[in-house]
Formats: sequence, structure tokens, C-alpha cells
Amino acid sequence: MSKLLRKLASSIAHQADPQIHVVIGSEFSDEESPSLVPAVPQTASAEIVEPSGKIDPVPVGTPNTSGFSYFMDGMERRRLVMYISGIPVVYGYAAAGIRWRGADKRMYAHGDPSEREALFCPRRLLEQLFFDLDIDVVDIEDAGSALEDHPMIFLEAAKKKVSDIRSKLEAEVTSRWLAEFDGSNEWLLVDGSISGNYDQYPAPNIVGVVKSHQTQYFPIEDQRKIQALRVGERSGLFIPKGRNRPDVYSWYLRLWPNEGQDLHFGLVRVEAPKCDRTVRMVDEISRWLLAERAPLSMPDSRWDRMLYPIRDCEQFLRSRAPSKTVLDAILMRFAAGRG
Amino acid sequence: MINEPHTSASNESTFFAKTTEITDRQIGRVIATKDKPNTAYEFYFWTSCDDASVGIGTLVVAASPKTRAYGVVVEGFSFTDLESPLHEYIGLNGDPRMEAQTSRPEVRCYKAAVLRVEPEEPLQPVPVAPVYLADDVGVAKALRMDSFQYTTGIPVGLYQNGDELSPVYIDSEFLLGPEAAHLNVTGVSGLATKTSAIEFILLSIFEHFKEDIAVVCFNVKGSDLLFLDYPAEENMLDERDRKMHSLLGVPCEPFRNVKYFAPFKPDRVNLNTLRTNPELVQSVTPLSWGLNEVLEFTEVVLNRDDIDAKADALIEFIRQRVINQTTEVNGQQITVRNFQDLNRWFDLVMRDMEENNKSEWKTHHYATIRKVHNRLSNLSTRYKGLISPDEFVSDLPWGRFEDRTVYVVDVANLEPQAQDLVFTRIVSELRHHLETGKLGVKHVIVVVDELNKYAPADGPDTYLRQTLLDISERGRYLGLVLFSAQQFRSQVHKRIVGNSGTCIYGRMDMDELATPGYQVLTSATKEKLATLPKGQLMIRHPHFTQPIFVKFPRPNIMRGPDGIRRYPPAEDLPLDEAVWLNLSRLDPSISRNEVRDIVAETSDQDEIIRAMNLTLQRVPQDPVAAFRSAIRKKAGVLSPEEKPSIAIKDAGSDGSDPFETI
Repeated sequence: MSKLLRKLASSIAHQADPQIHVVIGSEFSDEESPSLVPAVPQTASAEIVEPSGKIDPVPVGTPNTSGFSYFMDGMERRRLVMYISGIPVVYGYAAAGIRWRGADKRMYAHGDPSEREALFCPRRLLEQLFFDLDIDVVDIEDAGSALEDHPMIFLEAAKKKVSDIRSKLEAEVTSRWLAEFDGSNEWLLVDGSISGNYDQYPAPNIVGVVKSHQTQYFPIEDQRKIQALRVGERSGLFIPKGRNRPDVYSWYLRLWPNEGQDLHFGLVRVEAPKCDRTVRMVDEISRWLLAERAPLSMPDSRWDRMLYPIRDCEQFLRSRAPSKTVLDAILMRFAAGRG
Repeated sequence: MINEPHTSASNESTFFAKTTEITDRQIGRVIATKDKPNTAYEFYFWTSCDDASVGIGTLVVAASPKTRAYGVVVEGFSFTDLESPLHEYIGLNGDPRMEAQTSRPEVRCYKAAVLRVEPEEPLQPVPVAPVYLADDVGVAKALRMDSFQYTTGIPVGLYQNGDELSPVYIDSEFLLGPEAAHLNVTGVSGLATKTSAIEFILLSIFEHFKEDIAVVCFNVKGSDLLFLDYPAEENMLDERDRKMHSLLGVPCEPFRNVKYFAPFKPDRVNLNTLRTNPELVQSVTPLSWGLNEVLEFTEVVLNRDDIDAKADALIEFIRQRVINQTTEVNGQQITVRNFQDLNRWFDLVMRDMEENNKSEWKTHHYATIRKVHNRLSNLSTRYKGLISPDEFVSDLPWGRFEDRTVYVVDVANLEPQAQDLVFTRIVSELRHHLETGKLGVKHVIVVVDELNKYAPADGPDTYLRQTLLDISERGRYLGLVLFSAQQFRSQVHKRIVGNSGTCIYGRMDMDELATPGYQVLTSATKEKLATLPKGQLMIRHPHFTQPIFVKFPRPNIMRGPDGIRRYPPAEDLPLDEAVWLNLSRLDPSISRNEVRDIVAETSDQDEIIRAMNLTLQRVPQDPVAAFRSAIRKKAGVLSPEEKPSIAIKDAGSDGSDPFETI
């Protein structure tokens, strides 16, 4: 990485086009939060499916050993690399990968992660330039709907497209795993909402941990009960509504005490496939998650909700992602070649 | 050699395999960070935490397409992603018995000091590249042994190379001269490592050195070097030792030719050594020196305060004008060949002065003559056993030294000043004979243990220390090489250890390692030295740019304590038995009773010893007859010192004879 930019540099460096303006030294934008999380706070509805019919706290019992052995996370990086005739071109990188925990408790890569790097721009405006180049270019405009010709709008659209690719990669990786381990006793824990084709299995062994609380599913009275959960307590089971994905069962779980902290400190929302087994195992899965608190994922700032194997997954993906220095070097060569 | 540059990093492994014929030896990759950048002299690499083949002292190769950097691991680090112990404490709820669900990734990083880089010019920082364990070829290149291994290489140990052992050679031109010379061994006492290491290296030299060479060992304590010609006790050596001998091309056997020398005890008939078991004592030659041998070294054994310019002048006069010459003193002819003659000569001189009322004799003052007489006549008494009062001399075979022979001189039971005399004279003779090319061999190794004692960094300047300094500074030009050992290197004279081209370190005391002389070693290397197991050493040699850890086998030589247990020293023999035993060296068939009868007939013990020594020196065909005839009968024959003094009386009125003997 980044082969794409190298190829681009070698392909168009000789083209003395004064309209190409290379941007060197800008920072990467990393998307830390799960891609399925809305960018702005919102409310949504939910259907409580807890047998008691309430969201009230339920003690899950004493954690012992976790049943998870596979962990999935995704990442993305994007950066404005040039303007061509005033049109911003964004370099984007997204990846998703799975790590597995061996009997020795060490983390190993489960195959190669899925990765994609591409340039993001409105194709209709730059088609001529990239037409013959063998590089991955993603059109930031959806078919039949042209964006206004405003660089900031293009940048926002590119951001969304990179996130979409990341989500897609995560879904692909998850689906592959589900196919590979269908019928086994192995469990996959994913960062964020569960994705992929989980709905095609009767009882897939997959659980998602959502660290963000941008969406509020309950009125304030019930929300207070959730915020008041103590360590080792979960909320009642519910089905989040208003999603354009197959339904899942969900519940809140307090991992760490929030005394003196934000109300949401140590609070996660768990997602699991909508099936009877989830109802039966909700406490056990909660105990697994509590067991995953050690080791602590410090120095991550989200350590109260970030489980260590997920962080390991994230670190693994980051180690493979193109660094700012490498991109800077390529762009500098590019700019120098054009000078 | 780098055959051809490659342009693709993907070819690294292939390239390395082609040139050194090793595969699957990659153990890590070079890393370079801002905090720990690589330089031309050191680099860092990481390995799997499960890799058991890397440790302090391991030789590695960082091979990039264009460069190969050979290094030795000098420091190791291991860390996880844990930033603070507090994080672990919180994660485990403060309960150390709790097990985390996931093990944190642990990385092992090592620092390697560069031994060699190919190509050597231009000298550049070590590149980021795969790191391999050095194989035999790699070890030879890393230690620059490829330039001398097959010509002047002396195998000294084995480097643990993964699961295999690679021989490590040192260059004889830098061990035995003329480029550099001398070997110094340091280590704590009690592990037998120092002695074993020296013994093994001597065996290896005998096997691999291409020129003639002999060894003179001074046994300074106990029975350390008294059984060099006997194999080790059963079960002392295991298969591993034999395999190591085989890998190093050194026969697993004791020294083939060993000659022992020891002075007599004060009784001058029993040898002053622990090798007196009847089975072994025949192989011990007495070390007995006479006036000729000692007078040149009077400075060594006389108190410095005694040897002022006047005394020195008189001693020089005696050396030049009296010894081995017939002179006339006070009207009497006298030939001085031994201490007894010298005593008679002094008597004559002083009597001449007294009778003639002279205060000076040939410009030497009476007091000086009396003082020198007093000191010199004391020597044969003080060093009775080593210095013979008569003309009996038994010495090392000067001019007839044999190739591949060890000459052990047992001075363990001598008092320090006598040890000084033995060291100084033997080394002086070695140097003299080597200078004139008349020793019999071209090279001699002098082995001295307890250098702390004999050449201390501070303390009085002794002749022995001067002698050792002289060997270490000038010996290599003559073929005179010093192999020395001590417990505390820091306490040995700097010029002696500084002149040792090759240095070996066994297990070291931490206090010693804290002294300034070890500052160049990393803390990990020091830690390893402090816990070095028996049979492992660290070597510094001019060809090696960094110290190297090697293993060496136990030599198949009987240890001193085992030898004493198997061949216990004999009790001191009575005179007649001792005489018979000594004479039977000349002819094992001589009759014990016949010798006993001769001894019984002679009442003067000194005369018996003198006759015995004379017989031993002459090596007659019939030792018993020669012994009998050598005994001077006392009937009316008195030696000059036995002559009574004469008092002159006035012829008194009583008419008695004025010349009366009183």
C-alpha cells in the first residue's frame, strides 16, 4: 500500500496538466465508530421482547470464561489527495478482517483481511482522465443522481462512499465466516451492529457490540433505567426498529461502573440474531462479554466499551493500512514529477 | 561475498539461501525506529516470542539483497502492549490469580552488535531485512575466521548454532605470535573452568599448531596440574564431551608427553610435591639448583635493602672472578663451585683481613663482605631443597626441550620468595635460550595461574612481576607466550592483561563485573557472564569485534583431587629408602639392602645426600658402586671449614708446646 497511488503517479505524472493540484501533508480521516452507526444523534423505536415485558435490569450472573473465539472489525481511512480542475479526489482505504483466539489465548489472523483502496470522485467530471488508467475509481454519485458541483458536497459524498465500502467489506467477511463455521460451536464477536447474511441461518453464532449510543430507542423513563444499570446487569431484550436490515435481538449491558463518569461509561448495546436461542443465552452471552473485559484495552480512549480482542483486530488492520508518511512520499514524488 | 545485487526484496531469502546454502533459518526481521535507529555498529530485530534459538550471544545475519550484516546479540527486550501495570490491575480486578481471556501480544526484540558487514565499504547503517541464524559459514564469516580458519586456526570451542554446534577458531598468529600473543583467563574459582579451558586450548594447540612448541606450567596450588598425563575418571566425560572433541578435531585424551619437576623437601631426599605416589614418583625430576644457577638471581631472593651498590659490586665480583675459577686467598688456592666452596672462600677472605688487620679486601669493605657472606650462605639453608649446598644440579632440560611436551614445575609448596626465584630463573632461561635459538623448540607457552598474586595491579614491584611483564610485552617476538589465569582480572597489572591478545571469561563475580574494565559489556552480557554455566566461556580475540560465547568440552585429563584420591602421595621416606628410590631411577634392579647397608655405614647424612646427588648427576653404569665411592670418608680428612681455628700462645715458662690445638 498504496499501489494505487503509485500507479496513478506513474501514469499521469508525465501529463503536464496545470489543472492537477496535488495536496500534500493533509491528515488522514479515520472512521473509528462502526459504520452502521448514524453520524448524528437520533431516536428510534423498539419492541421489548423480554419475557417480563420490561426493560428493567436483569443480573446476568458471575462471568467465567468467554465463548467467543473469533473477532471481526473494520476500518477506513480517507484523505484528499488532489484537485483536478477544482474537483476534489479522495483517496480511500477500507478493510475488514477476523482474528481468532487460539487455545494459548493468543490472537492470530484468520486469513487475510479484505481490503480495498480507491480514488473517490464524481466520475462524470473526471472520466476522461482516469478512463485508460488501470486503477480503482469509485463514483461518489449514485446512478442517475448528480450532486451539486460543490467541492464540500463532493467530499461529504466521498466520505459516505468510503464508509459504504467498509460496511460492505465487513458484511462480506462476516458472511464468509458464517458460511465457514455454520454448524460449529465457534462464536464470532463483531465490532458494532451485526451485518452480513446472518438472517439466512436459523441460529448463527454471531454477536455484535455497539459502543456508540447515537440512537436512543426508549423514552426517557426507560432510558433512565438503562443508564442506571450496574456492572453485571443487562436491560430487557428488545428489537430495535427503523433499520433497513433484518431484525436482531438487542440489550444493554454495563461492563464498568460509571460512578464519577459519563452515564454511558461502560455501557454497550449488544446485538444477536433474532432467534429463540438468543433468548435462552442472553445472560450467558452477557457473561462472556463481561469476561472479555480483561485484559483492559488501555490505552484506547474507549477502553470502557472496547473489548480487547476487538482492539487487537483494529490494531492488526491499522498495521496494514497505508501510513501518512508513505502517502506523503508518493504524493511528493507525484508533485515533483509534475513540476 | 555478494555475487550480484538484486533489486527485489522478495528475493532476499532466495539470495541468502544461494550464497550460504541455508534455508529456514530466518528468526526475525530488522526493525528501525526513531528511538532505536540502526547504525553501522548495531541493529535491532524482533523475533517470535516462542523462538528459543535466540539469546544473548547468538550470531545472526541480517541479509538484504545488497548487504549482509553479521551481528552478535548483546541485549534483549520483551514487551507487550500494556502501558501501565495499573491497567493490568484494573483489568483483573486486582486479583493476580485471575486469568485474562486473551494474552497480550508479546514481542521479543534484540539488539545486535555488528561484527562484520559485507560489502565492507561504504560503511552504512544495517538495512531493514530478514534476520537469520548464522550457520557454519555465517559463523566463520561473522568472526572473520574465513581468513585463517584453514591455515592458522586453533579451534577453541563451539558456538551453539541453533541445534547445531559450529567450531570457533582463534588465529595462532594472534595467540602465539608474532602479530599478537598471550592468553588471559578470568573467572571465579571452584568451577575448574579456568584450568580446563587452558588445558583444552593447549591440547588443541598441540594438535593444530604447525610449528614446534612446548609448554612450561607452573603448578602453584594443590594438585591442579599434577596429573596431566592421566585420563579423567570414568563418567567424568559424557558423549557430548567426546562429540565436541571430535567436532573440534582434538583427540579426547590427556597430554602424551609430560615431564614433572619438583624441588626436594628440606630433607633433600623427598620430593616436595603431591605427585609422590610410588607409581608416579619416577616421572618427577628433582629441581635442584646450585651456586651457578642461583647467583645470577640473588636479587630475587635477597632482601632489597641488603643489595645496595656495595653488596651488588661484591656479588658481581664473585660472579665474575670467583665462581668456577681457582683463586688464591690468603695464600691458599681455592676453587668455588658450590655454596660450600663459597663459604670456605668467604672464610679465607675474612681470615685474611682479620689476620692482616685489613678493613678492605680488593676495595670491598669488611662489613660488606660479612653481610654478603651472611646473606648468601643463608640461601642454601633458607631454600633447602631447592638450592643445593653442593654441586648437585638437577634442572629443566635446557637446549633439549621437546616438541609437544608439557613441563610441569611444581612450586605449590615453596615459599613465595622461592617461587619467585623459580619463576624468574626459568623464564629468564627460556628467554635466553629462545633468543639464541637453542631451546630445542621455537615456541614456549608459560602457564601461570593466580596472576592476582604474582602480578598484582598494586603492591610491591617484584622480580616476578617484572618477569611476567617482560614476557607479556616482548615475549611474542621470541616465541615466549604467557597463558595466565586469575579470579579477578581487575586486580592484575594492567599491562599484563592489556597485552593479552586473547582473553577468556568464565563465570564472573558481579562485583568484579562492576569494575571499570567491563564497562564495554552490555548489562545483558554481564548478567550472562555472572550466571555462565560450567563449560561455557566468553572469548575476546583480535579477529572478533565483539566477545563471543562458546562451549568447550571437559578435557580428558584427570582432575587434581581425583588424582590425589587415586594416587595418594607417599609418606616421606626414611633416608635409606629415599636414597634407594632415587638411585633406582638409574637402575631399577639395584638392591635395596645394598643401598641400606651403605647408608648405615655412613653417619653423615649430608654426605650421603651429596653422594646420592653426585651419583644421580653422573648417571654411572653401576649406581651402587658409584654411590659407595662418592661417599668421602671422614678419616682424618677435614674440610677447610671443619679445620679448627688455631690459637697461638706464648712459649711459657712451663715449656709446654705453644702450638697447641684447642
